[in-house]
Amino acid sequence: MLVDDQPPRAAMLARALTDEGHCVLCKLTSAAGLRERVLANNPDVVLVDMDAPDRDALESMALMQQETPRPMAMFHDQDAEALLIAALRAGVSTYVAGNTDVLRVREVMKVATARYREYHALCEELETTGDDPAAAAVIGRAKALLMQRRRITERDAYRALRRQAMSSGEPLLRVARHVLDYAALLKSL
Amino acid sequence: MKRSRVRIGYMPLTDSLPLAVAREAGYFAAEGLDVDLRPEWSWASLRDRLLVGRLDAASMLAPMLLATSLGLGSINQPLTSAFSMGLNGNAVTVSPMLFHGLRALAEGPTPQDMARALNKLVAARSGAGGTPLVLAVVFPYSCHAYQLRHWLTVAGLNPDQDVKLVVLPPSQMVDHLRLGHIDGFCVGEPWNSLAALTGAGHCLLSGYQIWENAPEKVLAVTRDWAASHGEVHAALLRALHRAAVHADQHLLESLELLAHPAWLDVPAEVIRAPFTQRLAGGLTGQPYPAHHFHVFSAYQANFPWRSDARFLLGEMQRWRQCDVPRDGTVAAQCYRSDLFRQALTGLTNLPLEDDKPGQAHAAPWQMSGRPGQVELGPDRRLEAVTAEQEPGVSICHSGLA
Repeated sequence: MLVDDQPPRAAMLARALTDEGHCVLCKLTSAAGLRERVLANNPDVVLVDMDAPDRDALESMALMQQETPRPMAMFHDQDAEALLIAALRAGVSTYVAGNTDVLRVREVMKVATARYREYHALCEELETTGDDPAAAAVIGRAKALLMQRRRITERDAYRALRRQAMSSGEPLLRVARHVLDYAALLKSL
Repeated sequence: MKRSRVRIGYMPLTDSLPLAVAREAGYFAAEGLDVDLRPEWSWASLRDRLLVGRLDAASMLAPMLLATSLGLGSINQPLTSAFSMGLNGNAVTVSPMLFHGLRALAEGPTPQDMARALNKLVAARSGAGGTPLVLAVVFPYSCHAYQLRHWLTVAGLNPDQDVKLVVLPPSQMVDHLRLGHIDGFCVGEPWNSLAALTGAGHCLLSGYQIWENAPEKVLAVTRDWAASHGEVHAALLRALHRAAVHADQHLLESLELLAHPAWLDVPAEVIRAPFTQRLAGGLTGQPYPAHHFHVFSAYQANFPWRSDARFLLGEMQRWRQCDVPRDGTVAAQCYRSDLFRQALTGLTNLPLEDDKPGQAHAAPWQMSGRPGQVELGPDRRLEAVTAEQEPGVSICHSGLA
């Protein structure tokens, strides 16, 4: 179960987990009603964006074991502490049901940590391409094309490119090139 | 001189005022500190960022520091504190519907009268097959949770059976109350004042009416950081103590700082309400006296009393949250009164003892200190009126006195 208010990141993570053979039961953009969703879905692992304000509610489910039929005990394996620290540094917190296979949990945490880092790097890349005039020109052309074809504002065009970058896991510059290549292809047919 | 960089996390609440004052009035800079203040949106993320070294220090719920050091939750990394952020600041607020129900049943205005009314109301609801009342606190290991649980016990109720206790972030309490998701909450300011002044709820009793001059937040650091950053830590304690003294002396102007959108984004008159007789409380709607709310430095509010640590560990044990070793090591390792004394020697009067004999004082009282005596505040705790005691002649403090 994933709780993340950034759908592109949740999508990246869900795809990566599915590729590894895990099953994503449910994706939530906010932790509202989290308790009920946890009880209904009975997940082995809940991955939560570290900054979700409702995280304390989940934390209390993990602590107040008598209140929940399926307690989400926090991951407390000494050997796995480094993994937990890496995940938290990347910005993802992990809650695990008491009887879940530790090896599977480790795999899930590794995937989540890697994807959160990747997302963070992508966001940073987004900031830095602005400094490269050639890259900025490509992104500018892709934006102009979208604005013209879809009759949207510059801001919305940029958002659309960014959303595509996040959900495909590709840099913004490459997404912009795809848009231009695709438009050229359509024109040539 | 190269300034030392320190990252401090906090939850935006009125009790984070000393941090704002230390930055704006230059107390951090005067100690050679370059402080980066970082807001957090959950207690869990504040704790985790401190544990993994993304923060150097944090204004943390005192029981959370103890719980984390006992290995309850997240990474097993012991925390320590040499500074308490202040006293009081919490209150219990209930929905208009629950308020009217209690007023109809109460035989008088005291916290005990309200407790008896709550008992009757809960029994009536249960008898009619209704759902239990839902009451929110900010975290299982928090003074808010223990204060609310204490009052429910005074009401003769079992907090784990007779009501449903849930956890919500402080900033969302008022909205959930307005939407009817919860029947009441115990939270820090300004959220009780915001609920009262916007009509979302009625402030039923101040935290002071449950525990007078209660401990609340502490400045938490990891034990490793305290050991490797002694000088910076001491500078931080001095800056925060000076800021806390400033906050007490210039309270109303200082609170203005918190109204900024980057801090609480709540109007200044709401934040100031408990100190300007604008927060009406209890069944009679009398304004609370200012001393029911925050004390930032007076009454040795910043001293890390080991007796406070032991008292809170006792609450954790009382509510079966954990087993606490009985040898007193946890309190001594978590509350470093020695570091506070080292850092503040020469600046202020310091108590000679690490513990204060509490729970008996109805008025301010003195303890021996160095160089001069230190003053402490009233420290009684609300008690149930036993069957033998006539209502009205109870020895317990009543109402808004």
